[in-house]
This record gives sequence, structure tokens and C-alpha cells, in this order.
Amino acid sequence: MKVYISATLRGFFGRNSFVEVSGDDIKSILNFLTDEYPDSKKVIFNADGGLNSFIRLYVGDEDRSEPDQWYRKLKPDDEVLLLPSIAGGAPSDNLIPDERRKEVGLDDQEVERFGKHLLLREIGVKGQKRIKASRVVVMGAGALGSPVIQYLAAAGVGTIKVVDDNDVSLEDLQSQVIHSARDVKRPRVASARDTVRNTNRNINFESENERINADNIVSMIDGYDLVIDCTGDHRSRYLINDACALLGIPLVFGAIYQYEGRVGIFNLNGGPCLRCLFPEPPEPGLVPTCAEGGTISPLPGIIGSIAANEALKLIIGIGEHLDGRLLTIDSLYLGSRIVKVKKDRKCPICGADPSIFRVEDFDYEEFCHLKTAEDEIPVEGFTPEELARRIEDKDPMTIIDVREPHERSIMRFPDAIVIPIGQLARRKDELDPDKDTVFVCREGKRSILAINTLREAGYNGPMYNLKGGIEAMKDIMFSHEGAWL
Amino acid sequence: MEDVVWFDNDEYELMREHLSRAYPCEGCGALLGYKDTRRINMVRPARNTLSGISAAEGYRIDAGQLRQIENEAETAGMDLLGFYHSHPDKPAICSDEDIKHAVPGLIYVIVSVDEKGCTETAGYIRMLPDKSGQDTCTKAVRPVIIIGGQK
Repeated sequence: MKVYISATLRGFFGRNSFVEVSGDDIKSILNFLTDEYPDSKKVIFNADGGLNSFIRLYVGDEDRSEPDQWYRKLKPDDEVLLLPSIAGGAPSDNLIPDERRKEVGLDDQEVERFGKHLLLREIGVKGQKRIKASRVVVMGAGALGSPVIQYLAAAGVGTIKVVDDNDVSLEDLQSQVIHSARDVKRPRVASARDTVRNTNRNINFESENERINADNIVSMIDGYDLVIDCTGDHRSRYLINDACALLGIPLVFGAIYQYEGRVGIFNLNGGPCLRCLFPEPPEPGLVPTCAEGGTISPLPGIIGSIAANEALKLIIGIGEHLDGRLLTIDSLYLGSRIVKVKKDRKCPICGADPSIFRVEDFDYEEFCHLKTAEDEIPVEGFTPEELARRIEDKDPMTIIDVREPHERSIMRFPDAIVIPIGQLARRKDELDPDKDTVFVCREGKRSILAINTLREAGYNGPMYNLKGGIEAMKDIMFSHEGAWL
Repeated sequence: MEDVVWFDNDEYELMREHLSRAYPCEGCGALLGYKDTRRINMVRPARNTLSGISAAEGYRIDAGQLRQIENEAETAGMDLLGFYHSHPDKPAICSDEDIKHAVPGLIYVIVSVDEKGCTETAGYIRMLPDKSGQDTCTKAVRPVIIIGGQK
């Protein structure tokens, strides 16, 4: 049987216009060709074993390129043609359409202020106008949000909306460089607004001092060009991702943990989303939250700056970006790598057959295992005041500190037995089932995990949790401590 | 060093004229010359077989036309070196769709066109797909310099 090879592809087939092959279906013809001309293999096949998108296979006038057509028997007089697919499309539209870019102008002061952007060939006046016309939402004004908000403001993003419901605390100042000491106890959004104002008064700064939930997220981000996720918990991350996917808003994702950070772009032009990468959040207790795990001070600066840089490139429409890829940076041993994120056809939000159409219909609390800790397995506990009273009254009880050694060195819990969580089940005989046992950790979450672990291990004695952990206990003053007053 | 693609006199103008006429639709055609050279001796306009709104945002040369062009080239003793098409009201940069359908080793010339006529012209050569078979990475193409109207 003769196969016609298009002139455009002959270079891979010894410059022959016809190749005599043996085979009675497309599959055997393809096998023959790639055996005979090994160079042609990577031209014909893609990684999934199908044809590359620029290769078409015809039998007469009929396109038989799809793999399900490959096993149909061919007649000896059929004409088989290997042709390129000559097609293409216009480049996708900019994040900031030209009409909006043309509506804004730069005054003399702005030309001076953004001079270093205007000097860059890829940005220039057009790019700076795009930046000025853009409307960006930053979710979270914490560690990651600090550099993101400040760089977006410095770069001249026209509208910046910041969503955060926390107040600035003293411990925030270790990594949240947008706030200063005199902002402690003020709302984070108010402090962020002041910093942005001090940078550039012309920026339209919007803020929401509200906790995001399924009912308010859509109205918060609808109509904006880009969302940057600078939150630190799984519930917020999935909620933001889902709302962005449903509204078709691209999402720049940033995350930090201890010494390691990640940046990626989701939901860009129908690309993969957070759920394609992580279909589910990790099991509760497996990964400590950022608040429990800690983070080195400059790490959010590194990761946030990369996130802001990705956001600006998307807005201007230049360079390569992390669409469908995830960048991981290890600041402790200075390694970095980029992994590809494939779109998941079974993704419930952006796949071929989605099951989530409205964020209101999805239970994020349950999805992120936030309900199990409190509702399903009730764990009895003491408030810091109750525990303090029992200690003062010298009630017989055992106190177990399940924190890791380096955490204990920050603040010791007097008279507590130290058993890290991993050793609990093995060392359960050290506990006295006739006495009350109280478990303490930093935030009162791992101690619940400890109680559940012991229950599973078959320990039957009475167990209590210190609600809010040692953090909440800090403000309690024992009578012997206050004696000198 | 970047590759340079030379257009013969008149052929460059012929291509731009054709693409200006096709506006607001995408125009397309083939580039003929002698193998292993980067010189375009003949521009062969083709029909964009997409219609309606999709013709403004894409192009396709069907199999029948392609065979005809190949036969013509053979008769003239020339080789098919690549293809050209226009991007109406869009910059002359490779779109993901362009890269996806580009044959490795061929020259692809893209001309940006607006209502007043042709503006910028750019050329690309598709690299061989890498081991992972990813088609959409923008690194898959190498830009070339286009020089038109040479004797």
C-alpha cells in the first residue's frame, strides 16, 4: 500500500513523496513508518500516543486522525495521505482590553514616576497604561499580601482591592512589612490603605474588612481583572479558586510554609485550577497551619514579590508566566523547581463534566475538615481560666505537653509531662487512667488530635483539651506570680 | 544567531496586498522556494476555509488545497518552505493555536493587519516537540528575521 507524504513532512521520511508500506489499518501503517524512519516518531506522535496536533491522516477525503479510527480495515486501493494541519488562530485577548487601555492617559508626573517602566521595551507607555487601567483584588493583607500590595501600588496598578478581616498584632510585624508598630490593634486593611496612600495617592484603594465566605466572595471579586491569593488556609484557598474559576478570573496563587514557598497561576484562559493540582486539602492535623508552623521572615517577601511580578506580566501581556505550572522555592537550601500542572478532566469545577456551579452550594467547612474537629468527635476541654483555677486548687491531674522541643523552648508549661504527638500511642502507659489528663499545645488543635490518637489506641481514661492552647493561656496570671504586685 | 528569511522582490508586497484585502478576515497562503534555503521565491495565496466569525480569528487550509499547492510547487521545481497568515487587529505574535498546528522546520510568517493595511511582520520556526510532547510552551518556536523586497 502506498502512503503519500506531504512535501512539508518529507524531511522526516527520507524526502520520499510516497512510501510503500505493509499494513491493513492506520495503526499498522503508523508503526511501519516510525520503525522505518525513527526520526519521524516524535513528529508523528504526542506524549499521549495520539497524533501531534499538526499531523493529519486522511484516507481519500476522510480524516482518520483520531485514534479510534486507527483500527478500521483499509481496502488495498485506498489512498492514504499523511498531511500537516495548516491552521492557526489569533492570539488570545489581553487581560486588559485595548479599549480600556486607550481610555487612560499618563500625566507628566506619572511619566516621571514610571520612567523606569517606560524605558523597558516590553512595557513602554502601552504597558504602563494597561497597569493603570487594571483592577486587582489581593486576598489577605498578611505576610504574602504585604509585598504584593506594596509592589502593585508602586508599579501603578489603578485599582487595588484588599480583603482581610484581621487586626494587626505584634507577631505580625515579624513578616508583614506593610504594617508598622503603631498599626498594632488596627485593622490590617486600614494599615494597608495608609501604606498605599503614602506610595501613590492616585491609586483607587478599596477594602473589605470581612471574613470571606461562600455568600460574599462572588460580589467581592466580580468585575475585577485578576485575583491574588495571599491567604494561608485551605478553606479560603479553595473558596477563592472556585469563585475565580466560575467567574473566569485568572488567579495568582502564593503559599508559604516555614522555609518553602510556592507560586502558580490558575484559571487563565480555561487553564488548570487549584483543584486540578490538589483535588482535596490534606487531612486535618497532618500539616500545621502557617500560624502553627511558623515561617522565616523574608520568605513571604520572596514569594510575594514573585507573585506580584507574575501579576504584572499578566496585566501587561508579556513574557512567560506560571500558567499551568507551579514554582517551588526552598529558601533554606536554595533550591527551586517548576512542576507542570495538568488540567484534570474530572475536576469538579473546571473539568469536562463539572459538579459545582455555585460556591454557595458547596460546603467548604466540611470539605476542609473544619467541622470534624468540633462537631463530630466531641472533645471535652477547659478554658484557660478553668484550667488555671484547677491548677491553683491543686486538683489531681496530669498535664501533657504535645508540642515539639523547639516550641517548648519559647515558653515552658510548668509541671507538664512532655510527650510529642508521634510518641503518644507508644507511651500511653505513662498516663494514669484514674486521673484527669489535660493535653496542651500551641493553639489547641494538635491537642485534639492527640486525644483522638489516644482514643484510637484504646486509652479509656478521662481526657481534656486546653481550649485555645498555650497562646490563650499567656494572659492568665497565677496568684503566686502576682504576689509581688 | 537568529535565522534570516529573505523575500524576493514583489513577492513580499504580493503577500501583504493579499492579507490587506482579506481584512477583517485572516488571510493565508504558502511560501515556496528552494529547499535548504531561507529564501522565498514565490508566494502562493490560499483560501481560508473557515467562514464567518471564526475566519476573523483563525485560518485553515484544507487538505485538497494543500495537495494542489504541493503539486504546483513540484511542477515549478520548487519546495514548500512554509506558510503565512494574518492577524487582523492583533499583534504579529504566535498564538497557542498557531504553535499547536505548526510543522517543525517550516517557516511561519505572521502579518498584523488593521483597516489601513499591513503593519508589523514576524516570522517563526517551530522546534521539534520535546520529550514531554508539550505543544503549548512558547519556547516551542524560534523567531526569525524577515527581510522583504530583496532582488
